[in-house]
Amino acid sequence: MRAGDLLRTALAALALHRLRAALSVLGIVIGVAAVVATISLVSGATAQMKARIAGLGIRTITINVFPTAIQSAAAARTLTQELTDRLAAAEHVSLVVPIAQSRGSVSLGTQSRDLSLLGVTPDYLHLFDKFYPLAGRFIHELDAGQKIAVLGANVARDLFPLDDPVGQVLTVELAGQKVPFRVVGVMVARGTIGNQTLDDYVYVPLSTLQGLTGSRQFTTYIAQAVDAESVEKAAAAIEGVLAATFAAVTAQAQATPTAVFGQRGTAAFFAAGRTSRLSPYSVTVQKAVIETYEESVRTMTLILGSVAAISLLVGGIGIMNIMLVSVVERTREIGIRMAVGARRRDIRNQFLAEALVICLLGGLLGLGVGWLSAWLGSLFGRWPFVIRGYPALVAVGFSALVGLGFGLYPAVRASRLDPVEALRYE
Amino acid sequence: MNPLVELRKVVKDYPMGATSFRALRGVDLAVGEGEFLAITGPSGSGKSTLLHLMGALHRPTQGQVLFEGQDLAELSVDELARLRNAKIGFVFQQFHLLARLTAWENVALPMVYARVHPAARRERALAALARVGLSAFAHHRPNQLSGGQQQRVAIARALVNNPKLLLADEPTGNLDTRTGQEIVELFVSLHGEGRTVVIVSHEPEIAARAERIVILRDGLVQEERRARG
Ligand SMILES: Nc1ncnc2c1ncn2[C@@H]1O[C@H](COP(=O)(O)OP(=O)(O)O)[C@@H](O)[C@H]1O
Ligand SMILES: [Mg+2]
Repeated sequence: MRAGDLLRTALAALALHRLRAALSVLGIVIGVAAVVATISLVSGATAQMKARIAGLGIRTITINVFPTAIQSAAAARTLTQELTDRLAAAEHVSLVVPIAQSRGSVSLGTQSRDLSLLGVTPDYLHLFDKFYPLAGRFIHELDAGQKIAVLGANVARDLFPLDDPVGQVLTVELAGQKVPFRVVGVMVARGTIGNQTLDDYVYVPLSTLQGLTGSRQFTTYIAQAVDAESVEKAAAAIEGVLAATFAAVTAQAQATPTAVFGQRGTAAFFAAGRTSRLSPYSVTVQKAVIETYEESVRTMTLILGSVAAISLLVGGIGIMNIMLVSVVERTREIGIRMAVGARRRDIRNQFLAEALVICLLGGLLGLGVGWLSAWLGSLFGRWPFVIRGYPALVAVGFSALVGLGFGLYPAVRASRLDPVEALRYE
Repeated sequence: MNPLVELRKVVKDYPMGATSFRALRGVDLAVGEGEFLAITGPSGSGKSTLLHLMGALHRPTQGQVLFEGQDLAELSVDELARLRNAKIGFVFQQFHLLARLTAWENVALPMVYARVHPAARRERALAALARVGLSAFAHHRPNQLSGGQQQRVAIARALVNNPKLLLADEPTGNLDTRTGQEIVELFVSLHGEGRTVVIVSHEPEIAARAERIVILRDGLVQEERRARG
């Protein structure tokens, strides 16, 4: 039988029982609409959740390096710059910002207040959403080595409750010296992101802080993965870069220790090598946040999957039922067609075509109904309305599969009828 | 005359629960090319069974059915379907038309399975309807036609793929005597055009229009005789 004949025959048969055909189509419409709506709603809700979790710094990877044996400030600066570049080149990593932290204090009349100083580069600003200077500016490239400061919102409020901080000089007691910092900006209040309290810091140029405190401190790097899904992969890539780098540094240090560290540094290097089994670096991701995120996506997917499966199953059973009834009703027709030369596969295809027409019609209508209800849902739920191409294809493809799957048994049964028996059927 | 269909020691059992019923008990019969044969006999004697075997709708339990010398046992189910489609035309007592199709669409049905191009079907169907004198009713549905007209549509359908063998099982059984006579005359004239015709009937005056009569009784050929002089 030609494809055109199959389609014509299927449509004619369905037209003969319009109500019945409409009800079978409705079963599929409901199934597919449920799938499409759920996919769309979950996509919307997931997008919203993703944005929220991303705000929590899920993409952030914290790298601590402990250069126990590196002595000179110049060596520390070189290491920092080199390592930053190498880490930034790692796969799945979009941004690396070196930071250094130091504690200081400032005297307010008779009292003294402790301060957390964070040495950062200008890129620090790009690690967080909606983190920008409310007044003045953030640290620029040209500020390297300059004694300037940008205040977190809480610090600004505490130190300058009445005045505009920008342009003021803040004298900080730091590493046994009194250092005057000129305030050039105040950041917007951003609160806590992950484990970072952005509002409590005094931000200064990294090179300035390294110059003031010397190089004994470990250095921290904050890296950002390209997206929430690749955090673990980015962390692994970073570990790889660190391992390679430190193997090279260690090898070189062992070959010509004095060239690398100087006399005293060499002793310290070997002492560290003997006494410390600890890794010279650590890489930390926000596991809890990642797990929460992945868990919610899993749950959503599971809900989606069950709804899809159940509703399509119900629709499919409806199709099978209708097709079985149809085969019995048309036993004589099958006999007639066989008598005039229909092969088994012609009969089978005829009934499959009917099931397929029902399911595709239901699939397309269901797609429309599903999108409509997803759109309404997004209005009520206040999440973004997300239309995806692939769920649409999946839904229509799935309904076709349901048609073929559940139509197959009745169709094969029809095709196996004995022509003479079928002709005698009353 | 070369035999078009030949039955050799054909036995046909129908399963009846645990046992089976033997409807044909060893029939030898040959139908020559261009012959007009009537099969007659009492109800339940196995006439329809015999016709179904000749028409490749059934396979024998024992014995052989040969069509143009080809043993049908060697053909697959699909090959039997193709044989029915191309070389055999059936006409049934109950007409067996599809109610939702018009006359010409019913006639076109065998062409659907012969994969005749849709554009060519209509013309051929109308020609077949013209042959049986029903040109004016091409767009009528079966329920808008009399019994005799419905049987003519069924004959047109049997003719449309230009088969070698025309098989008719009690084609006048549901018709009044006069209409039945007309249908029989149609078969006589189709035979006159060179077609092989086998007609089953328990009415002697219809069987008498054939060239040869085979009388069945209890699944065996009881008697064969010449008719029409
Ligand atoms: N499908 C069947 N199952 C069981 N018995 C059948 C079947 N078809 C025919 N028979 C039996 O076989 C015998 C011959 O039937 P049939 O060939 O139809 O005879 P006829 O056409 O001469 O009346 C009858 O007794 C009938 O009851
Ligand atoms: Mg009979």
